[in-house]
Amino acid sequence: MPIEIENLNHTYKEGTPFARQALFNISLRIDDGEFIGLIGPSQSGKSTLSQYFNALFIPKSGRVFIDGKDTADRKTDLVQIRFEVGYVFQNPEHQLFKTTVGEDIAFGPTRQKCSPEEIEERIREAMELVGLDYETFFERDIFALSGGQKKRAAIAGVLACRPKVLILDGITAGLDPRGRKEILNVVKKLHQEKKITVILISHSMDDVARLVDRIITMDQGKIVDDGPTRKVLSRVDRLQQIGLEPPQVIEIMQQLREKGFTVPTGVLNIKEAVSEIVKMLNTPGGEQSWN
Amino acid sequence: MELTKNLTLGIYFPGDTTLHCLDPRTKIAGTTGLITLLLFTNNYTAYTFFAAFALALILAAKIPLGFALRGLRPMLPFLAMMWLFQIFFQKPPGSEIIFSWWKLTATDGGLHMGTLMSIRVLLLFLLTTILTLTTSTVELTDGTEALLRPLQRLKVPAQELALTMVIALRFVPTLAEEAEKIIKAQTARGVDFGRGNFIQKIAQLFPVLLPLFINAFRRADEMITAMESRCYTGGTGRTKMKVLRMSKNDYYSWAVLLLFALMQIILIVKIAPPF
Repeated sequence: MPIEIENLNHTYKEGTPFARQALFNISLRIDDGEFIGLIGPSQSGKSTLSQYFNALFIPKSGRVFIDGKDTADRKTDLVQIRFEVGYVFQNPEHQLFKTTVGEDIAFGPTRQKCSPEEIEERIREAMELVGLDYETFFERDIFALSGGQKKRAAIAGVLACRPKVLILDGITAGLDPRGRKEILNVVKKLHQEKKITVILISHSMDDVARLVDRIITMDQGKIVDDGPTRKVLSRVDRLQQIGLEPPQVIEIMQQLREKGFTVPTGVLNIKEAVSEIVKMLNTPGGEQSWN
Repeated sequence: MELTKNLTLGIYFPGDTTLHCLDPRTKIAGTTGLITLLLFTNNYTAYTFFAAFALALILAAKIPLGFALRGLRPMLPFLAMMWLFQIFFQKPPGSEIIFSWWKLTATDGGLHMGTLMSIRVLLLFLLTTILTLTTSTVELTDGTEALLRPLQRLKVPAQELALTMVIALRFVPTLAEEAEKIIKAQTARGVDFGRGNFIQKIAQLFPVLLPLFINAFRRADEMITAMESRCYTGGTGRTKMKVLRMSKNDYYSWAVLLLFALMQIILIVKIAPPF
């Protein structure tokens, strides 16, 4: 289910003295099976924009089509769209409200009017996908969970609705390095195995860069850059302009270039950087400035 | 879906008008006085002058009129209910029946009572909104505390009361914002807010109220820690950075308020209520 956005504007508290325009004339297309990083500093409009992806916001200026259906059309079934485009919010405590993990995950499928057997099966599947052991966690009290486990439970609660698109807002925020790595692996698995379109919203490059195929950067309500990960990341000056730190490997490559070494800046991880540096050193003339 | 958009109570609207710069004691005591006066007002002429006065205050504070009035909107359904109840169930002596339908009879006295009461509630809300729009929370605490201080001899914990009130006011917008986020998170899981029958609508409240309450308790807990880590131990012996002082404008304001109050009292006494 592709998402198309045309000339979208958004103003918070419209018609009050506190009005603030958050989106300026945004046009965008997201196709099936894409793995996207939506990145920008705080207040850049990324969360606002993403809330149009599952019809939490209905456009007043501009148009949004989800699977070809206009969300501003009164005949469009918004509830159905929200099941198909899952949204996991930054703070899992805004979502979890039942007593046990199992009951909370069951909330979505129950609203979809699934049979008890189907709900059971979906809970099992969702918990397995996010790496929460069914036997251990099904009856576990929500408040006995750690921060990372709460995030997983929240993601499972959305996955149980069997979405085709999954939007994850700041899922690594507040997690330790290990929890971060684990949750990102879960996301990667979802995209590869379940063929879900994934949109990761973040304000840091390091987490997202390694995973996604396409990066959209935003600043002050406008899209600054949109393209394949490598390309967007190699434009270091543009990233720095909007206050985003490029991943550390790219910064090293950039500094090497400034010192006169002919290395490409579009690398994604240390392994690639190493092989590029070795290649440079092995080419005649490449090491000329080495002194 | 913006809950905070229609919220004006508890929000400070920054400005530098005379009204903003008045001593908070003047504003709090003045508002209290006006509200007391409002409770005794019982005819349309007096209410008209009252509304004009409130309007003048809004204009003087340079608050956009639409913004100030927007806050009244959520009250309207509640008021409409009260109005209908008054029409059908209030029967002041000597009132005439306008029409009857089924077992209900509407009287003109009830109609007047309902209308006057609605105006009273609207003005009451408007006056309070003007106070909070022109007075920052810090000024509100300082003012309330100063006004309650004489009661401290009677063992009334003035400082604590003022603090409690201000914390409550301060968290109205915060909680509204949080409720908005929770509503969104639940909408994303297929709750269709505002649809369905009465029982379904009640059921929709649980996924919002439960996280909201839990988070509110958590927030209170965090605030206690923050206060204690800054050595807050209660009010005794605390000094103020900004000492409250009455200015010339405060005395002028009191003169205006007293004149207005006198006029209102004359209007209340001279003009008979419409029922």
